[in-house]
Amino acid sequence: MLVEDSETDVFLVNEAIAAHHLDVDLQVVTDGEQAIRVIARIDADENVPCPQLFLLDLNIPRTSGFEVLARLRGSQRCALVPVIVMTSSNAESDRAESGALGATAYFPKPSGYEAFLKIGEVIRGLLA
Amino acid sequence: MRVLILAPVGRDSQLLADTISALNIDTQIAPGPENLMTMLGEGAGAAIVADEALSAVHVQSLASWLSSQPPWSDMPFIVLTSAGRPTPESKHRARELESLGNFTLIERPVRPETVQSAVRSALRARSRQYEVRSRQEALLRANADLEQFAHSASHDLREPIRSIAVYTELLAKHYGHLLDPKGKEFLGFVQSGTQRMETLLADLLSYTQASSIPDETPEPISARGPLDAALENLAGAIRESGAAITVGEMPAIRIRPRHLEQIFQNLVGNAIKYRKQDPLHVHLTARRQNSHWLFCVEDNGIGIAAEYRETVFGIFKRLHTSQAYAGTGMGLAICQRIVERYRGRIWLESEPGRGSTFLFTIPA
Repeated sequence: MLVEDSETDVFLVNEAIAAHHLDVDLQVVTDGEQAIRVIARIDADENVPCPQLFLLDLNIPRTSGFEVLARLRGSQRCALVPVIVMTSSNAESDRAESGALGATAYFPKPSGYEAFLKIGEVIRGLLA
Repeated sequence: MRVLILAPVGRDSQLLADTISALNIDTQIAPGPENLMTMLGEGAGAAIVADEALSAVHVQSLASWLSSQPPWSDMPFIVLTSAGRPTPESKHRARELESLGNFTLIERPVRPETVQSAVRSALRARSRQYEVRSRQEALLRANADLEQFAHSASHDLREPIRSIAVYTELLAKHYGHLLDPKGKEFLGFVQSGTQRMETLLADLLSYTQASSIPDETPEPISARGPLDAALENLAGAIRESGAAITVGEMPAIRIRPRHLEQIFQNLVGNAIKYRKQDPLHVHLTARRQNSHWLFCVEDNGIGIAAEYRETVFGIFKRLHTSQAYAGTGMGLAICQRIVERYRGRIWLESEPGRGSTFLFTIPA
């Protein structure tokens, strides 16, 4: 599942998945509240499958990515799912807070196309 | 502002209160020393205390209250001492109090005018302290705003620029062949403009981060580590320019490694950028000078004319077009910020055409 409000970055993540030939069914939500609702639904209903991986933008509408991450780690069924935090910021504080909240990987969104596609490698590594 | 009064005899307290109230100043009588501590905590302009009202225990708790005051505060106390010839004990006591804080000792019997004058001067001092406090609060707010801005710069401003960068790249890659030479040139302008904007933002961010370095003294580290890291980052530029870099002995100093690395990287990077045709030589040294370490980064580059020796440290200040020498004009401003946060100084000496020496100090 991808939590990302920027269409341009959703496109790039899809490009990365295609470029690395990953067999992934990408579910996209565009704000923090939606993401939290999805997590709540998974916890409430055992028949709803839990995504195998979360890709989480920090700067999203309504609630911050940190809040979604905290919710995810506090969830009954999704607590152990790997999470890639991806953000335009390379600030030490964001990196540290992501780590403290239990992010599995941190991917500063680069400004180059090829460099962005590298997120495909990170995804592959965590799905294996 | 109210004046707190503590005297063991109720009548004395009332007399003092009346004397001060005559100046249209609020007073409040503390029933006992413990109450005085509480009332001080609630805020006061000054306190008048009869010497005999404070036992050694009270003086101790007063001392701990005094040392817990915020930096702007230095609560004025007026102490009424006993009458008669000073004894060794009373002298010792006076010295003890005066060492604790802002104490004015007045010997009894006191005339009302003396009390009034002491109170007026104490309140005047206190209102100065309040002014300092409000200035400090304004400064803290400004700093918080600055950090907020740095955060926006890193997230909100970078995001759209990043999109422009990636998508112009895709545009050039997939549709570049459809453009005529003029169109290709325009696309190139968009790309270089975007890249420049990214560099500017990154530099602005470093600058604001350098401004919010916390006021603390880190453990000493060897200056050699950050210097090597900086030279490693510049390895490409050093190779390309064929620069010879020589390094003298480096001391251990109290600074965060990342900050020293930034300083070296900017200074050596500048030396490489502003070199002449002749082979470039950059020489780095450090030596102890009184209470600080003096670092020198010396080059044989193009040099800087005397009239620009201050301006080069300004934000976005550049002496050359970005066509002639790439850069945002933030490097030296960042260096200056960092050095000043560590209570050091940075300046330069130069002979135009012969080279420049950048010098900075870091307290030992």
